[in-house]
Amino acid sequence: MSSRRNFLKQMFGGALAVGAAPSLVARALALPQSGSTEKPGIDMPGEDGLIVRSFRFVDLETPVEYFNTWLTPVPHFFVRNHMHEPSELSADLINSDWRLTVGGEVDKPFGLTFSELSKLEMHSVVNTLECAGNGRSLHRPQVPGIQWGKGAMGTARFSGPRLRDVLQRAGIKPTGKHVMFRGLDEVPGKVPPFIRSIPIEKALDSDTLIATHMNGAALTKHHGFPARALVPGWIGAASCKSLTDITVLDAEFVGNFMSPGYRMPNQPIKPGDAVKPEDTHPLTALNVKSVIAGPIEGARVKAGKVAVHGAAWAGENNIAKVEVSTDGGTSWNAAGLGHDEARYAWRLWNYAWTARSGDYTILSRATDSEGRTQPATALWNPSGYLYNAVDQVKIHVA
Amino acid sequence: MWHERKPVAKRGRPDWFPAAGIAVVVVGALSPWAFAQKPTADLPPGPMQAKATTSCLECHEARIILQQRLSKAAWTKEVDKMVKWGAVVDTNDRDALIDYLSLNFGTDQAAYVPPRTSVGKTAVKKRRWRGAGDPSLRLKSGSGRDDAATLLVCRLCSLCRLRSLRSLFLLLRFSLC
Repeated sequence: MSSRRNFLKQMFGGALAVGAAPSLVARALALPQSGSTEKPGIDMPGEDGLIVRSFRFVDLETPVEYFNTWLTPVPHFFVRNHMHEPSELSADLINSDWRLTVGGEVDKPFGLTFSELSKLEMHSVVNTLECAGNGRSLHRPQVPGIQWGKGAMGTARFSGPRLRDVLQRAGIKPTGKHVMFRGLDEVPGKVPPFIRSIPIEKALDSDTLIATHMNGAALTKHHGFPARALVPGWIGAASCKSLTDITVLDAEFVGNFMSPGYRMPNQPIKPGDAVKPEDTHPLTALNVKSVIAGPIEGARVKAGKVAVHGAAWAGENNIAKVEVSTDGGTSWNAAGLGHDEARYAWRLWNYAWTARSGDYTILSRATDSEGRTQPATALWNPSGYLYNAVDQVKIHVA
Repeated sequence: MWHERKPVAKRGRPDWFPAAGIAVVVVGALSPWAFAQKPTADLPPGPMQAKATTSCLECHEARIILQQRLSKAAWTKEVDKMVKWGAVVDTNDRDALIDYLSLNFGTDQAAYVPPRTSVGKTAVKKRRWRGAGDPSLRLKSGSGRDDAATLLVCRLCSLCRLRSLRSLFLLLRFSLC
């Protein structure tokens, strides 16, 4: 009897130990601490530790604690889709009938196979890509849409031919004023297709690419295989994925994702106010913004030296300074900026804080080369775009 | 009785060995590492659960709904937009559907806590996109190195639990990456 009981007890003990092991190991490895790390994750090959906003279609957010390297590894890079990713696209690009067609207001429309596209001169741009809706969940009152926290963004080295080399080969007519992108996204129901356009000036910029690579490796399906637009410094939606059509237009594209989608009221509005379409403008470049990557919200740290660190970016502008407050905004201290920099990429920043025990609200505030500074409260708008309030985390120092 | 304890004789192999062995096999197989979470979520119970599942989840998964916190007016707009975009909702069910969504996902509900993708599963299957794998189509320099280096530093940093060394790693990471 007693030995059977012991056996059962020991089994129970062993079961507890094994059951607890994953969470203990997870703690020992200092895996991302907030949220649901105790629960089993969702397996998604190539995606590592990301917050699942939606599995079908795929929308994944990067936890802020991963924003501690200048380049975000692709497995940690956020994923945004408005609809389903192409299911029929052959992985065998060499023999597939995938073509990138260039047409519209051009003299010589043409198509490129992937091999032909790959033979064009390659250029690289390190770019901070941020979804226009990043931080939407922080707007009050709340607005519909993917409820992004702070991590619908990342920085990567994008490589591929320049868009302008392809456009110039086709010969842009004087009537060509905008460039429209269309990808292979699969449209569910009667949802309007994801088509957007950018002005010709941005399309002809030497840093605007048809990217085929990200951080030195071919684009993955979630990031727009086989080729995507890369419109640096602008909202992520400008950089259309799984590109098939580049069409030069005489005016801005008319469609859901240009209007009413991805537009901002020209004047600040109050929740509930009606906005006429003519009183809005399309979103283009990103705001000035910073985010605290550590310590994370709710962290308990020991008194002494604490590295407050994060990233700051400003779309097409440069970061001039980042300030950190450890007293809820009463006083501000200059943070050191990391030496890695590129025109459209974030700067990492770091502030060495000597912390005494207590509860603290840590703030970070970025200012850019044009003198724009993060506001205390973000500008509310009906779709929750471009949230960029001063970032804050509450922590406990023991 | 569970509180009875008898001295356990010492033997060559501890007597808990077989019990622990079975426990390791059974619970190991059931542990989070063996079983990943179900990828998609379900809508909450209620009179409209089945109809909402048919109408909404045809095109997208439940989490798109679970994470919203909206007023009834905002839900009304969303439902009407989705109907325009092809969601099949019987006219007689429209109001009940709006009520169901407003009740379960109103502004007074606690925030939805989303799951994460598994940690450490960065390996993409061996079968590479052929276009990507073709050496002639590769970038000449740094193929994948950016990611390898940063992931390595991330791992090294997170391995270190000692605060002083962690700070050193953070500084190193800050200056290296």
